[in-house]
Amino acid sequence: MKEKKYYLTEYGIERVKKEYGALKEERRKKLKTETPEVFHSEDVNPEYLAFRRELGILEEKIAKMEEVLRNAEVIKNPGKNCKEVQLGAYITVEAGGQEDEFLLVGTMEADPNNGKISNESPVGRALLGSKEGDEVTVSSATRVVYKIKKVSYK
Amino acid sequence: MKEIFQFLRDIGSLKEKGRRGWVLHDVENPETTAEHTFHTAFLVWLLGRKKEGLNLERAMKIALIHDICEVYSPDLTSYDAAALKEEGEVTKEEIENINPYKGRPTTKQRKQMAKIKDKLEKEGMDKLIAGLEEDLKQEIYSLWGEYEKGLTEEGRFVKQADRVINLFQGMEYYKKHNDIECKLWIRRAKEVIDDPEFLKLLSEIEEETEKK
Repeated sequence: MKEKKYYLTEYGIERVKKEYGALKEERRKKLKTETPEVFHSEDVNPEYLAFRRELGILEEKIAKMEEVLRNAEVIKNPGKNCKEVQLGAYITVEAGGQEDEFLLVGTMEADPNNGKISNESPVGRALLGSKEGDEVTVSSATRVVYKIKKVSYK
Repeated sequence: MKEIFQFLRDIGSLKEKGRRGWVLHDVENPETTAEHTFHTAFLVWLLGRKKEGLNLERAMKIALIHDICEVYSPDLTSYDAAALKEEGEVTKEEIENINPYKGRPTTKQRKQMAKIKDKLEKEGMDKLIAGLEEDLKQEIYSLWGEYEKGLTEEGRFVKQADRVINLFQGMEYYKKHNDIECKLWIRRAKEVIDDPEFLKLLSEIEEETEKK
């Protein structure tokens, strides 16, 4: 099966690497200090089963982080003069009489409460490829026009 | 068993805690945090059961714990964010005395809210699970971290389920109460939802809203 690409900023990659490191450290500590006996009298020790289950979750998360890092594509900065919305763009928009600023990122880095919206969201998809001065309509029953006031890259 | 007893008693209080968004809209018998959690968990199961690579057991657990910090932390809404100053540190006192504004917050206000909310929720969670056994405590922190950081598929999936089910409930109330800003919320949902299955459900919600 073809693996999915993960578009990440350099900051996003660092976050994933940090998490990956923390998970591996957790696994190392777990294996070093916690391994309970397999048998308790004649029965399988329930603590051993809990240990295996927790270790399994850690292994699963570590494998997922490895997959992300293997398939990560760093979002490139197209340069300060680029006025087209691409991944990594800071976009100032006006919609419904209010100004907003978004940073367009890949799904894994999306954090709308901090202004980071996913390129796979309806608004993210609509903004992608637009330019300063454009008006983008997010087509649906609830029609919203986003006026692109400024596009910049840091 | 004493600590489990106390924990059950604590989280049981969420069955009485009306969700602030609905309280601000004067909804009669507003949905409680526990009822919202029940709905979120169902949505995670229903749309997550066929999602490739998703660990449904972990996702369900994340759904169950995603709001339990609210036993001790305030339930803050985007209406509260819309009332915040855009610059400078927001204090606890300001949050306690906040006068919500029923509008859309700016990105700066959302960031301000995220910062103080993270702090208050962390304090709430610490207090809530302090008495639990260490391994259970660690499991809850780990699940909650997935939800908050969004670095796992499961954490992101539950976060989106939380948003969509909130919109769903808003639509239900919108049918009865005209002052629910359902259309404003749909607009926001189109900025924050990107999972294909949730987007399909969002379309259903939108169609249903239009029927009113």
